[in-house]
Amino acid sequence: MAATGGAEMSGTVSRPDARLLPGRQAEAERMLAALLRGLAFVALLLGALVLIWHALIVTLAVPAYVAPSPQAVWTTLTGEWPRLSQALWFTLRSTLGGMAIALVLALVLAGLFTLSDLLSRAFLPLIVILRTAPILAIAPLLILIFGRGQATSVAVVVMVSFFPMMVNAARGFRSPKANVLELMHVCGANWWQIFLKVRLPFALPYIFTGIRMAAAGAVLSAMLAEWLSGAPGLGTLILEASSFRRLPLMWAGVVLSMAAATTLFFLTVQLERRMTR
Amino acid sequence: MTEIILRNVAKRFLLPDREVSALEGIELTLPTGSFTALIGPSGCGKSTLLRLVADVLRPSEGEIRIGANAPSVARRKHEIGFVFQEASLLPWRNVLGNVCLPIEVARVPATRDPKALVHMVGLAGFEEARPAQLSGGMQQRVAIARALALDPKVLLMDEPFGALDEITRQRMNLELLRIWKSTGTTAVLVTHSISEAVFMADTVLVLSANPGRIAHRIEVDMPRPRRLEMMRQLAFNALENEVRAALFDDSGAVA
Amino acid sequence: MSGARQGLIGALVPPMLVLLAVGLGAELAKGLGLLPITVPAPSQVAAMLPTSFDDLMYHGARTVRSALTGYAVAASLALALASVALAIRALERPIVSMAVLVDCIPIIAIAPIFVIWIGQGPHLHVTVAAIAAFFPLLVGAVQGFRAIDRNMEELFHVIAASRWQRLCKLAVPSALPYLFAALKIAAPLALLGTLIAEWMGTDRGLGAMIVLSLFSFDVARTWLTILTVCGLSALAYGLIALIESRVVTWTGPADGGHGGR
Ligand SMILES: Nc1ncnc2c1ncn2[C@@H]1O[C@H](COP(=O)(O)OP(=O)(O)O)[C@@H](O)[C@H]1O
Ligand SMILES: [Mg+2]
Repeated sequence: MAATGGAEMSGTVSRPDARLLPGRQAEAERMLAALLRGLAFVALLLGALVLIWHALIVTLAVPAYVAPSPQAVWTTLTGEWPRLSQALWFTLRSTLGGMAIALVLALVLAGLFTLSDLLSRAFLPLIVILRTAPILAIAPLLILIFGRGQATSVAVVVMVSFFPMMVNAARGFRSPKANVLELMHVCGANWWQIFLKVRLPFALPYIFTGIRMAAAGAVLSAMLAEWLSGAPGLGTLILEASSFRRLPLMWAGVVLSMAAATTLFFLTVQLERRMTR
Repeated sequence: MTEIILRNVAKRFLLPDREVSALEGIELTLPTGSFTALIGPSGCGKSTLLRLVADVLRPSEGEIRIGANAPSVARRKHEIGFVFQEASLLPWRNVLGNVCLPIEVARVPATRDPKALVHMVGLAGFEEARPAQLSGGMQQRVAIARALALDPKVLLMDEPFGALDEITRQRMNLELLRIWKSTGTTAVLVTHSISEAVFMADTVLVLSANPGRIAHRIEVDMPRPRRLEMMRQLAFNALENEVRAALFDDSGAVA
Repeated sequence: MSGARQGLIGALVPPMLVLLAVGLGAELAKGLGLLPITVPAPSQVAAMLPTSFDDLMYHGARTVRSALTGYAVAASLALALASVALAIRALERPIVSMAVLVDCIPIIAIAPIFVIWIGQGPHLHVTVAAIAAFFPLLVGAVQGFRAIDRNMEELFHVIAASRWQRLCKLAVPSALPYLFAALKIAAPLALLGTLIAEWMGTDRGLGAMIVLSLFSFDVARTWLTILTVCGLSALAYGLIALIESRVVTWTGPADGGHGGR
C-alpha cells in the first residue's frame, strides 16, 4: 500500500518533467540568457556607480578624508589584497558556517514540530516572538560565553539566522493541504515517508525564503561579532582602519563587505526564485 | 432626461503581446427609468460595458451619453451609482459610515437621509454594525444603499447577487425592484441568471463573446409590479426559454 | 472586550511560564555549578539592579531618545516614499529594489563612514537607528498601499473622490494593518541600530554600558544591561501592538513576513 502511494506521488511529480524534456535545452538557454542579462545589468550599475562616485569627488573637490576616489580604493584593494582577502575569507567562513548550522538546526527542529502538535503549540509562539527581538543585542553575551575566536562569530550568525529559517520551515512543513496528508495516510505511508515525499517538497519554497531572509542579515551579524570580539575579519579590519585613520583601507573593506553581502543576498534570491517557480 | 446612449462603442485592451477586443459595435438606447438586464457567457464584456458607462474605462471607439453628458461629466456630477459583485464595503466603517461615504466625498448636502436609506434596504437597527458582522445578503444591501446615497440618475449593478443563495437572491430582487420604482433611476443589471434577468428587466440584452456584441434583444412585456408567482406563469417560462435559446444559439454554453 | 482580554492573557501566559521555567532552571543549574562563570544566576543579575539602576536609567534615556527619533524619521521617510510609489506606480519597483539593496548593505560597514561624515554623537545614533528601521517600514507601507482592493479603487473613482480623499479614506486605512505589522518589527530594529552606533564608541547609552562592562568582565552587569535592552524592545513591541489593537479593529493582525535580527 505504501509503495503504491509513493509511486503515485512521485509519478504525479515527475510526469510533467518527462513531457517537457525536449524543452529542457531551450529552457537552459533561456536561463543562461537571463543570467547574462542580469550580469550585464549589474556591471552597468556598478560602472554607473563608480562614474557617479568619481564625478562627485572631482566636481565637488571632496577632500580625501571625507571620501576617497574610486582609484584610491582600487589601488588599496589590489595593494592590500592579501590582508583584505584573508579578512574576507574569515568573515565568509563564519557567515556560511553559521548559516549552515542554523539551517540544519532549523530543519531538524521544525521537522520535530510536525511530530507533535503539542510541541509546536508550546514553542512556536515563543520562537515567533524571539524572531522579532533584536537578537544581535545579545551578541556581547555570546562573546562572554564563547570567547574571542571564530566560534563567537559563528554562534552569532547561527542565533540570527536560526529564527527566520525555523519559522519559515515550520510554516512550510505545515503547508501541505490536509487531503494530501490524508491520502498518504490512507495509502499507509509512515511519518518518515510522508515527511520525505510530501512535507519536504511542499516546504522547499518556504525553506528557501527563510534562507533568503537570513542571508540579508548574516554578513552583518558576522561582522558585528568580529567587531565586538576583535576576531580578524572584515568587521575588525574596517573598525581598526577607521580608528587608525587609514581611510582608503577602510573604504576598501566597506566596498568588499558590501559586495559580499549583496552577492550572498542575490544568490539566495536567485535560489529562492528557482525553487519557488 | 437621463437616457443612456451608446453609439457604435468598441473597447479593445492592449496586452503586451496582443490586442483583445472586448466589445465591438455596441448600439444601445436605454430609456429614462427603464430596467435593463445584461446576460452572456463569462468574458463577453458585460463588466466592461458597465465600466465604460461608469467612466472607469474609456471607449476605444464610439460615444457614450448619460442624459446630455459624457460619462466623465455625469460621474463628477454624482449621477452614477455602481454596485459590484462582491459588496466592496470599507471594513473599517460601520453600515452607516459606508452609506455616507459618497456624501462625504461629494461634500454636498445630503439629498437623502442616510438613515432612511439604511431603513429602505431593510437594515434598520444595523446602522452601527461592521461589514464583517453582516451576511453576504446584508452586505450587498449596504452596497445598494451606498449606490443610492446621492440619488443617482443611473444605477449600474455588476452581478450584485451572484454570490447569494437562491432564496436570498429572490428576496433581494423584489426589494431592488421596489427601490428602483421609488427612485426612478435608469437601471442596468448584469446577471448570470436567466430567471433573474427576465424577472427584473423591461429588456434583456443577450451578449455574445469574442468580440462582445449584442446578439439578441428580448422585450419582457410582463406587468409591473412583478411578483414571485409570475415566475410560474407560462408567459414567464416562454421568455426564459427565449433567453436560453438566444444564449445557446451562438456561445454553446452559459458560463 | 473581555474576549480580547482573555485572548491577551492566553497569549501572554505560556511564554511567561516558559521564561519563569528557564529562570528557575538557570538558578538551579548555577547552584549545582553546572554553568560557566560567564553565565550568572538570575539572582546574581537581580542583585546588580540596585547599584546599576541609576546608570541604567541615565544611559537608557539616551538610547531610547536616539532610537525613538530614528524610528520617527524612518517611519516618515518610508510613508513619504510609499506615497510616491502609490501616486506614480512606475516608481514602485525602483523604490523597492533600491530599498532591498540598501537593506542588504551591512549597517556595520557604513557606520564608520557616517562617523566621518556626521561625527560621533546623537546624530550618528539617530541616523543608524533610522537606517536599521527603514526597510521593513517601507516594505510594509508599500505592501499596504498595494493591498487596496481594486473594486474599491473603482468605487472611489465612480464617486469622483479626489486624490487626497482616496489617500485618507481608502489608502491609509487599507494599509494600516500592514503598517502596524511593520511598525512592530521596526521598533526593536531601531533600538538595535542605536546600540550598534553606540558600540562604535561613545561613553553614553546602553550600548556604551554593555561594552564597558564587557571589557571589564563584569558578567552580571553585562547580562543586566542586555536584558534591559531586550525588555525595552519587548515593551516597544507590546506598546505598538496595544495601539494596533485599539486602532485596527476590523481585522486580525497582518503577517509582516520580515524578521528582525
Ligand atoms: N483590464 C483589462 N485588461 C485586459 N483585458 C481585459 C481587461 N478587462 C477585461 N478584459 C478582457 O475583456 C473581456 C471581457 O471581460 P469582462 O467585461 O470582465 O467580461 P464579463 O464581465 O462579461 O465576464 C475578457 O476577455 C477579459 O479578459
Ligand atoms: Mg464580469
